[in-house]
Amino acid sequence: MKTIRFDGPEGDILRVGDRDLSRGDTTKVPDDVAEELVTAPYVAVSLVEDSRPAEPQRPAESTQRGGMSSGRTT
Amino acid sequence: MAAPHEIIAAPYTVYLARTGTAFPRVDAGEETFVRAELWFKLGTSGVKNYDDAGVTVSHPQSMELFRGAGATAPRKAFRTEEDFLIALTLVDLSPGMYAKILNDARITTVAAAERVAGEQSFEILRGLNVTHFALLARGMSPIDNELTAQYECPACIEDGSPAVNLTKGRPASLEAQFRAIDAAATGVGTLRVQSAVAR
Repeated sequence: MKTIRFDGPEGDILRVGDRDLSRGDTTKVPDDVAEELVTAPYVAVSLVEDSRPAEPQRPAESTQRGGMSSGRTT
Repeated sequence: MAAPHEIIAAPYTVYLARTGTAFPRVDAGEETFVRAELWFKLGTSGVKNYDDAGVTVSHPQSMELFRGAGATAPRKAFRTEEDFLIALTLVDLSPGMYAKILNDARITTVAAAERVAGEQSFEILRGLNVTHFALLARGMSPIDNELTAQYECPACIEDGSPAVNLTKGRPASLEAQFRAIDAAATGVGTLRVQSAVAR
């Protein structure tokens, strides 16, 4: 499966299965459907990288919290 | 192309956009402004999809002439009407072009799926409201043929009456005529002719 985005003009609709996409909407489609739509000259569709951010690496020994207030005494 | 540069013989490419869209710089490459949210090029392959008659820019006007009772020649003229028109015949019946000419109709595209044929459709009825476009017509500069010139029309309407003739031996086409509208009372357009490259 690949994620596609409809880049057509405002007001136009791309119907994929039971979903109606407006400009800027994304959806997942089978690879062959994505390839057909992305290369079709009559509709503006682009592939969206599935850029799920990697889990942030936590420093093993860093457990300090508190930010600006830490260490302040009055 | 060789001098004299002021004699030109080449069609200009016509682009449409929503009114209020900024016009590209005269030296900007087409790839910088032809995008879905900006300028829409008429003709899937631009001028290669225009009828051989090319693009006609016309400036019709009406005048009232005053002739004194004691003379036959006019003594003063008063302009009462004028228009700025850009006309071309699109040899391109793709739904995107057809819908654009028919009041910029919205297109629904259905992606092919199992037992579902892919298709594109749009409403033919144009309705009461007339869509306004910004129009750009771009081509060869009559100062230096290697450079660009462009007509910039901030607001216009398509007021032609296209008739699609589906017959053998002759390509079906769409006649389009764009008439400038002075919607913001700031004029109907500008002709911008590039004279030199940027330093």
